[in-house]
Amino acid sequence: MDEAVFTRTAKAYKDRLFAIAFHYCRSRADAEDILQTVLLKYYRSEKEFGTEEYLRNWLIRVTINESKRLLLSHWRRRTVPLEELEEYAAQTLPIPEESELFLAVLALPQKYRIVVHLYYYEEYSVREIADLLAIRETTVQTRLMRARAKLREKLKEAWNNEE
Amino acid sequence: MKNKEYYQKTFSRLTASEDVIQEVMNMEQKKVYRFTKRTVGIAAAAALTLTATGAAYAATDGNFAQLLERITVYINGEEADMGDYEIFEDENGNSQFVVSLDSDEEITTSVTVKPDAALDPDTHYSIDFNTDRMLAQAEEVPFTLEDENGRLYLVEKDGSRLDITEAAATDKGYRYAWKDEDGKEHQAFALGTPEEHFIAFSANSVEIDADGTVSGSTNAAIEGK
Repeated sequence: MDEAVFTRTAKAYKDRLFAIAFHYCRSRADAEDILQTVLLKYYRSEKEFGTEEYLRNWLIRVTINESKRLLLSHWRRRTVPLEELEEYAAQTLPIPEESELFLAVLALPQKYRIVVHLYYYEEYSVREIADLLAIRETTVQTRLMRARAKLREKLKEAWNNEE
Repeated sequence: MKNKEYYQKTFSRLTASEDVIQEVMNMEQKKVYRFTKRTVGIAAAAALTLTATGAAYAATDGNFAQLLERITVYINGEEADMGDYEIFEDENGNSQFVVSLDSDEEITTSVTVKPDAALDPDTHYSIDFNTDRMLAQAEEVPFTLEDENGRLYLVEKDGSRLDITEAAATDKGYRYAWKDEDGKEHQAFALGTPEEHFIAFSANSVEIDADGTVSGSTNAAIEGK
């Protein structure tokens, strides 16, 4: 692949792919490993991506698959201590409201976290999320509903009742 | 502020290192893959566990090393690395090959080789764990478990709640059966206490008995060659 094309795409997408990976693994080091693998796959890919939308979906789908693969390959169940996340939040998010949302989202079960992120950050529709994650639309809706309830419970009025 | 705006503002502050782009280009030029810290960690953990367990077997009857030589473990059809599964001897002398998935709920399946299992000495056995099916199975369970005021409740999709505290505390747990969209029957068991509970699937492990009989599971298969 042309180096300039790769650099332009990598710069444009690295942070959002990193954020998706981070929602899965809640670890900066693991998320960067996943991002590196995804970008390397892109660099080595000989696909014709055609549209920007197709490229974005491809990169996000590969990030989701690589994140799942990392979680499956883990030795035993792994937990990221809350303190580690709090420390990361303190370094990255100086505004208390943002830090609270960050920690509340990352305290959600993994299957809720990724759905919430794809919906609120990537602005995918329920149907598109169902396609990306290979689950039913009703499952996406249920997870979104439960995640919203949990966020509302934790963040009180900072998290609106709206969808 | 709208939820979406609030969310996007917060998570736009998550940024990856700039170095990652250059690292990928360097890797491409050299055509190498990097061994991550995580990979090394996994290998080290597996080696330590194996050494400790192997020593325990050597001290008893020395069968463990033989057992390992005769069994290859696969996960979804691919030969597994040592770190991808766990081997240990349980309190009954069974050798347990266990795969656990890192998920919101702990999902575990196992193959149990009983101490008197009649494994053919001339046969090499393979165990294949189907973790994809385990995950799919876990996704489909139509209920969740919740604890409230010291009681354990089974909560169905429509929100109805059933107090299963006593039933879940028994050896067999509380059995819940349902049919999927294709009319296929499924069942799962809610087990444990309000403080510590889990969902188990029917036949989520395989056992090899003294007469060589293999019984169990949809999630793991064993065969001899």
